[in-house]
Amino acid sequence: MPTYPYTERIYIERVTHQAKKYFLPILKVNIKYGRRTLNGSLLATVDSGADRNLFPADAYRALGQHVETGLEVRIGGIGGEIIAYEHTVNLIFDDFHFRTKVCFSDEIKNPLLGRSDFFKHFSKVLFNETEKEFELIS
Amino acid sequence: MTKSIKDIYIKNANKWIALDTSTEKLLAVGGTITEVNEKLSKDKHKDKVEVFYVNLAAS
Repeated sequence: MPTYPYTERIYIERVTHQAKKYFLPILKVNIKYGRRTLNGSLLATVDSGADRNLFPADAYRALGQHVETGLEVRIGGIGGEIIAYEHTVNLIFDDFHFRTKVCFSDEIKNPLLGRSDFFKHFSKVLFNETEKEFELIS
Repeated sequence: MTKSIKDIYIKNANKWIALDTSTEKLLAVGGTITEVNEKLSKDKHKDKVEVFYVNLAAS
């Protein structure tokens, strides 16, 4: 079963411009629609607090598709409600390749992999905060 | 996280960037994923190229 180390990320403080480190359960994923895939991998956070997969709308546009043709959904979170459009795409990472629903929104930057359309493809998703790793069990 | 990577982050805050993880080389910068995607070579190993947004967070 694949175990993935948490990925070290940094953010830049607005005033000091100092880099601060943090660790997240991140997968490098690609999306495919028709024959087109992105020319690089997106860094998507495996997020047990997210109901749905939620990606930046521009990732879908980069595949030559129109975001607003999808089913409009409203997704609530800490920052309030956002509008997203649901599409079915192929999600690709490592040896995994499956069709799943992804909501695309102009209001987010960092892709999230959520419970209903990502976690459901596995029997267990285990997070180990001590070891800073997570495991996807089929 | 190497110093060169930190420098790339600082110089490109609030932008989308593409990094080659094997060489730590900045491959593309843009205001959108589409813009960055178009600048990337299709011949590159896609799984070695990370495309992400550089967050500029409040202190």
